[in-house]
Amino acid sequence: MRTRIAAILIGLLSTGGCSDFPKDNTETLKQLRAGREMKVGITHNPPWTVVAEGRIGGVEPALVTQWAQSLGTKARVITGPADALVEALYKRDLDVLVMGLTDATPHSGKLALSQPYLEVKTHIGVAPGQMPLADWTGQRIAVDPERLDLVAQVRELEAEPVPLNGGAAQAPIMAGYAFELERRGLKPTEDELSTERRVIAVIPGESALLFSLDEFLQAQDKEALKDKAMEALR
Amino acid sequence: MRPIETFEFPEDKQVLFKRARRLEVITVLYIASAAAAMYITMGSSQAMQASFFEDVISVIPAVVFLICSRIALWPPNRIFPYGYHGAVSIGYLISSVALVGMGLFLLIESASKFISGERTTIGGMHIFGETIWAGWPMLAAIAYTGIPSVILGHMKLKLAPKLHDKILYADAKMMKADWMAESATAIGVIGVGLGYWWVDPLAAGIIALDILKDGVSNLGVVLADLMERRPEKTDRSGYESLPEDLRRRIEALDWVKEAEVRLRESGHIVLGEVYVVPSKTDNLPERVARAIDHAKEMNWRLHDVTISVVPSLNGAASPAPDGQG
Repeated sequence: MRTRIAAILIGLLSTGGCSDFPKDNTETLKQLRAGREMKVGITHNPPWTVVAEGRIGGVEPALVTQWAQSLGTKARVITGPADALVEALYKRDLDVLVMGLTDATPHSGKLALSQPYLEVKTHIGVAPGQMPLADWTGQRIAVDPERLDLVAQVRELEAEPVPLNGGAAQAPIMAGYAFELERRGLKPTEDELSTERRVIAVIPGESALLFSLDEFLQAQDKEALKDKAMEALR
Repeated sequence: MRPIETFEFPEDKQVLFKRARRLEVITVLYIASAAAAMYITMGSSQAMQASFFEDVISVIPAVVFLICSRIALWPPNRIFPYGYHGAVSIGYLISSVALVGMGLFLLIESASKFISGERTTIGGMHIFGETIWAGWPMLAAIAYTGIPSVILGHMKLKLAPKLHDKILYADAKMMKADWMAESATAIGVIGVGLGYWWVDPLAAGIIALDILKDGVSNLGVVLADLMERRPEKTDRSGYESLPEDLRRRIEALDWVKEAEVRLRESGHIVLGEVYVVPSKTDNLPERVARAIDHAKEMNWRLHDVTISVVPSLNGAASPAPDGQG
């Protein structure tokens, strides 16, 4: 039995060779490298993905466009409801899915997730010099109303979320990503609301495609990604 | 109640027994570290997660051995006149159930994966500023957990029949199950790397069936043990010849016309009765007492026998000839 298993292992390795390893189940990466358009599913989830008035923006579409270029092809964006996009990716009607996913996504069984390309934490930020409160109960905390998870996190503190209006005077207390608070001139307090590990999804079973994406993401400058996210937030 | 004598392994077996205990302590420590290695590298791979749970199950026989083999040596007392040797059978039952549980777990796991159509994908892993294929560290973790299982399992398989310890035997089988499952995981990981995601659940399924078969056959043996079937060899190569040997030994005594025996296993030891038709009846109590000592000298496992002096062996009350039913 032992020798048989060893024989199978050696057989599998030698037939595979080590040059193009890992391989895809349906050769998606090969097709993309040959110039087939990369079909990218997208839903609105600022600042990671932004779909507004027919325009696509945010961190992840920019990343994927760049990745497609590095493979020698172009990305074509397809918008739709999240469930439909997940299903389309599983059925190989899409190649990549960007929805501002984290590694805790409930869809993980139907997606092949990249390694986290960025880890971000949400905090409450206060003006520099201001003492952070021990208890946020009843406090008015400014939150971007489009970011529903953040609104929920503020409510969990029994604080009162108030909509942040971009152009108006700076809010004294606000919830957001640590890098976002710093770039707005606020000081993140020690209270950490959440940690998010941002990921991008590809067709499940396509290990070469996923590996290529992971290699591409690893080479990215994290601070530049945060700047890009900041742009999308303004 | 008159308890049986306190049992101790003969000196040469005590050395083996100590070695077995040491092997089991190593097993527990090593499985704990292997489970930790799996936990760190498993990521989203279902196969790796299954391996982790499998590690947790596979530690059961080793732990059971360490507990039950100690309990078995507790001295008999008025409440437990036959001692605690039955603890070995109970431990064996627990170990066999664990083996069955492992087989079922792996089988359901791989079947549900096939049905749900979940396709395993293994991409990159960031390590020291480099991106390597995540399959490589997985294979390293598998090798780390699998290779010692082969060695430990082999050592236990050789030791178990010498000690007549069936928990140790079940544990050796568990180690075999362990490295086979690891091999399945490795084949699965490499299969995924080659683009064949379905190799993962398929390899796991085939090996789960083999483990289940092992578990069920162990369960059959332990149930028969608890039903006090005649003593069987620990490696299951047949029945012990102990009853026939004992009968011949007793019949060779000059005052014995004929004899029959009835023996049962209780963990490491064997207990039973001898029915003797005497040819001389002078000094009978002394002759019987000497015959008992003579019988016990035959084999270290034969810990206690009772000799009944009967007028003849035929009749309904007499036990059937050995091995004839």
